[in-house]
Amino acid sequence: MRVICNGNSEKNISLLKKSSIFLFIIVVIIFFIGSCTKSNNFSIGENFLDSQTGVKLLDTFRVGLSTVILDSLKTSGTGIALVGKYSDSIFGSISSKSYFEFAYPTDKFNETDVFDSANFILCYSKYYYGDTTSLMTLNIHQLTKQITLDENTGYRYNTDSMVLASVLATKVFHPRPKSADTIVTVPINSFGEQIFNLIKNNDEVVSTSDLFFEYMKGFAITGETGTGNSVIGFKADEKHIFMNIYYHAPSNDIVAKTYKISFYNNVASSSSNSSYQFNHIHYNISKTAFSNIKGTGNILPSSVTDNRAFLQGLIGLLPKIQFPTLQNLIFENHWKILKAELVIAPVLPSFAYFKLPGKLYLWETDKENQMNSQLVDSRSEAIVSTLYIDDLYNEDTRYTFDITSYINKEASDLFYNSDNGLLVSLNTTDLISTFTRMAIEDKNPVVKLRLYYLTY
Amino acid sequence: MNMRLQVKISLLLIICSVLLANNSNAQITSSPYSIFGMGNIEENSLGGNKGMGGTGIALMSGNSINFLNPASYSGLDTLVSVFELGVFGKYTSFKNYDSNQKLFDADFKYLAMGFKIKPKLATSFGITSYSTVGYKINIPTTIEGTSVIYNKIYSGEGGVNQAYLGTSYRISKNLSLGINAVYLFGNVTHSESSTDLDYSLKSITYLSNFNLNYGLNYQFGKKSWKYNIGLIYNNGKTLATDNVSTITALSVTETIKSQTTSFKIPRTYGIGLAAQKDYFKIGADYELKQWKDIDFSNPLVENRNSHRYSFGIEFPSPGENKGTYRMIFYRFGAEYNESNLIVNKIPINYRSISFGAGIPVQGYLSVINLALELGQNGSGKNGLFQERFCTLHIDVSLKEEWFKKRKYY
Repeated sequence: MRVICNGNSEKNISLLKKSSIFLFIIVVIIFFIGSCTKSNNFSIGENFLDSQTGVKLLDTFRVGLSTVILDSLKTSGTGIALVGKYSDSIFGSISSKSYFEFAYPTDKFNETDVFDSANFILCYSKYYYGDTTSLMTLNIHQLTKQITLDENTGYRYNTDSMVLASVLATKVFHPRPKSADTIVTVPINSFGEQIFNLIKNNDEVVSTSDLFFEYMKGFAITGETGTGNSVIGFKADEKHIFMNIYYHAPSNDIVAKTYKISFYNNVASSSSNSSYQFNHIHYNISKTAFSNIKGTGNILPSSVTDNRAFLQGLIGLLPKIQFPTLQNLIFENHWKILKAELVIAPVLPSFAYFKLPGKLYLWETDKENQMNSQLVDSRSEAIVSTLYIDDLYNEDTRYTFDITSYINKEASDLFYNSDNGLLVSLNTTDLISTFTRMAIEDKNPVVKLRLYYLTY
Repeated sequence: MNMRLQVKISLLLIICSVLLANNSNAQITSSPYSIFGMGNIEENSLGGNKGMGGTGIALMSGNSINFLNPASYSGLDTLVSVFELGVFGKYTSFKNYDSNQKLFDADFKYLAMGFKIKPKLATSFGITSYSTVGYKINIPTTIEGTSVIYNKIYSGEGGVNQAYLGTSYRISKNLSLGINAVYLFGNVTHSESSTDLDYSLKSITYLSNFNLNYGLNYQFGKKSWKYNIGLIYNNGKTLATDNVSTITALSVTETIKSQTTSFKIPRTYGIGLAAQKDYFKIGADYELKQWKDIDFSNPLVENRNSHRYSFGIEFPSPGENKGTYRMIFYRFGAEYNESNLIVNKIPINYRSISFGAGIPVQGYLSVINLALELGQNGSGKNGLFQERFCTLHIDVSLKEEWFKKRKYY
């Protein structure tokens, strides 16, 4: 490179000058950037704009409300034995029996062992329904037949009942499912001694498990007699339902011994929830607003049920929501539904005594009124609504569901079948293991569909 | 090519690709006035012209490319190829009747190359912008039937680019003629959307066509003072347009019927005068664009013919550096542009003054042209707003002696 040399010092000074100029420019730019309006706040130029979109709320859309009753609910293998009865004027009367079997005992007694006593042991699950302050009469029956499962499904249902033999043992007591009491002990001495002798004598009926099951059949726990007005839940598994036979061997030092026969959690089919334990629910709705629901195809519109719809677990009562005029939306041009919210309000007296469900879920249904598929959002997560309680005025207690994806899916079909709809339900576990109940208001306020829609 | 040139070209390409990748939708600008038509009309002044108020119709290209007049390319230094890259940073304060908001934006401005093919024949090609659209206006909007307010965003981006290939021939000692074949292309997107409510209505107009720019430069004068007259002309052109409008709600996009508006490049005339002696230059420009007959089909806007007036001077650093490779050129200029827009009955006029410097770096082969432009645009009357801005243009010229070098090997 050809350099016309004027001396290095001068060159350095000019370089220094140049770099200070650049440094100065950078500082100035940074200062300017720092003082800028955030681009999300910039609003000048408003009057140049010609708005072509608008978002509106439509909340006068007609929503149909009715109550459906499911034919049956699977109650086998829920891990809870429900015993007792309850009645009131809104939901009628319900009662529950629980069925189960004992496992084949393999331990033996010595010939010299002496029977002392026997107890049936039940453990509270802490679930209860109704008024637990009243006295409860608990009966243990033997069954006349072995428990079998449905050949097709491998389950037992809330509607299944079996013939009971006479009462083996009875206990009258004050249930304390909430307190520190964890077990209920039912003396069953004569039956216990019978079993003791069969095992001790190596009777044929205890020689194989098949013969044992045939002999023992199964048991039912009922709570129907007496004046009780509650249903109590007991844990139904190997560790929490059993019979203790107390005995001793004759010797100088008497040592009390316990022989345990446990609950049989037989897994008869490949389904892990399958079990011979199940609850039979009997209900009488003849004095309720929905008394003739069975006679009308298992569905009743709210207009004939005091402008209410009803939900109760284990019975299979579910409110059904329909959108009879959704068809009209399908033919609207330049419309997009941005958000669809379903708002339902519980009838206030319906939770004066019973707790409202904390969360509710939705299931798609059609004219068969079955729970077809659970409603999920765009990320395939179940759509759920958490109870909002208006503590201040008690007027705005409600459940709100975001059913945008459902409404848009239904509206995207050219033909909308107005028999389709949504069933409001508990979570699947509570639906088949609790009597959780709720009535939905359909007059003041009505069930609302809030449509936020875009016009363009 | 030698190593240093390779390094420079790679550097240039890296910078360009980074800038273009950052900003695939052509250039950005930040002005709500760019909502109309094709957006803000960019002037063709590059590099050193910027420091002279955008003046240069009558100036010949010397050590940097003068895109204002295609006839100027024949003035490029002999046996030298020039690469140029321009970027800018603009700080604008927008003021209307009740508020004052500020924005900063910075972007790539142009890329050009020029060299002599023969002593009398030169060429230049490159890419720069003809117009730019850029705005984002946030309006709190009520959901009808509720008291819920959401943020509605009106935004626009894109613009029209011009890729050109030009040539200039010195017919006689005094007269040069030039022509640019220009491919105009780009897209303009206007949208209305809400992130809160997850929707957007978008209209994208794709534009393209070829056009020709003509130029003439005539030089006369005595030994010490030389005078130039420059003329430019382009006939205007209707751009081929294709509009795609979509509505996106809840992440589902649907194409909707759209209206196609026509976009036209106006017929343009320009005249420039310049005088120079040694390293001192002075010039003035006048440019007329016939927008009057072009309809933006917007009831707010009325088009008028635009008139651009500018003048500028350039003088070398005094003292002993004068005439050496370390000579710095200082520039000063002013510009007044009655733009095509009359918005709400208020004409939108642009005025600015600029200060510039051409600083040699790394020996005598490269120059950085800096220009600081201070000005205002628009008016706060009738519900409009005034922009006061400060723009820093940084244009880098890289030069290489292609043919000369060969002799040394």
